[in-house]
Amino acid sequence: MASPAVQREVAATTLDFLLIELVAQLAAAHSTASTSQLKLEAIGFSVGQKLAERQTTARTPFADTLDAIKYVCKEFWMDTFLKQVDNLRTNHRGVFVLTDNRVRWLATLSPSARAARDGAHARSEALVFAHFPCGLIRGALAAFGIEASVSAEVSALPACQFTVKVVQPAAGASTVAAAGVAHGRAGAPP
Amino acid sequence: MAAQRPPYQRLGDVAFSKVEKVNAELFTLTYGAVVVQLLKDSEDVEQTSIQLEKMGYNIGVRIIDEFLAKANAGTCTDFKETGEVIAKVAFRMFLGVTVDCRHVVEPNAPADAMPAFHLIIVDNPLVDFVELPEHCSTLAYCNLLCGVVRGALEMVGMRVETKLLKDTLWGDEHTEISVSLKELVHEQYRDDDE
Repeated sequence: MASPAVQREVAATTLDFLLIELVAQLAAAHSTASTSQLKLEAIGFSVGQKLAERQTTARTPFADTLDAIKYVCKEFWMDTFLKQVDNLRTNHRGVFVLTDNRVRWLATLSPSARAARDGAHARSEALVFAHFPCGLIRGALAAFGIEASVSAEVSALPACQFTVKVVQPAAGASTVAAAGVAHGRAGAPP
Repeated sequence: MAAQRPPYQRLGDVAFSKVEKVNAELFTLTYGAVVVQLLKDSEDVEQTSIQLEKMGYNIGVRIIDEFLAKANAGTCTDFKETGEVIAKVAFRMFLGVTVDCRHVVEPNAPADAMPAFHLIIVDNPLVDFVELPEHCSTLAYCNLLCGVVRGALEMVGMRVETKLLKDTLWGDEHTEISVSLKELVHEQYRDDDE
């Protein structure tokens, strides 16, 4: 029915429901929170890697790490979060901070009754869900040969900050190129 | 043209056109990664199939609210119609595909036999890029769908039994799920005796 030119789509809520259930299932199956979060991150990683690989087969390779990060902020983010990253900052030494003012999965999150009474609890619950996008970013970068660690910080829901620390830049990428970007520049123009 | 299509099909098209959509690859890959994780954790194909059905059930319990709120499908008069709504509206709305619904009548079933239908999914987004390795060849990969249907129907007073009969991953030409009604659960209303 759908021609190959038309990208196949499913309702966004379908994925939301799957993720909600996944988080619940992992929490029930593993006694410690850190194990289940690690697994969630691992699932995100494998999805991010495969998705990024599939999307970038037809394009020219990225010139440097910044180029790859920009791709993640724009196209990759568009596909996964239906919007672009709101702000990208870097310290020119391999640390990138991606700020998204409204992360879909965190925005629709309804904290448990216990968490609702206490803002800190709501944030820590949101952090559990944020492990999935962390994995997605790490996976996408890994697909481009960039080894990085990604952590999330939730200060005010539904905004989320992802800190990407590049451990091993892409082969051929130079830190000089990354330094070309002005400090504090917004990485996602419309 | 849309006007000539059967009404439920149109309802499904409208519902799907209204919802926010994501790239199906993201969903397919996520589901794949979930199955792989479950397989790794339980190390047992049978257990994984059961676990997938359970997850589906929990999703179904929640997804029915979304469906009733957004699909505008109205009330079904009988189980046959329920099948049509699931196939043409629900699957279209959530997975973007239309599914065929075939009503099955046992050849020599008693007159009061419980009704059943089969959902035939030709274009299953769940199985894109998937191939079952030799040691997992019996895995009911799409068992999640069975669970979703069971969970969702239970919330609207129908206890059903679902089973994955055929799957493209098993070499069949389509995915087929049987849904048979076991019991109609009527809601009990009690007087407020205060």
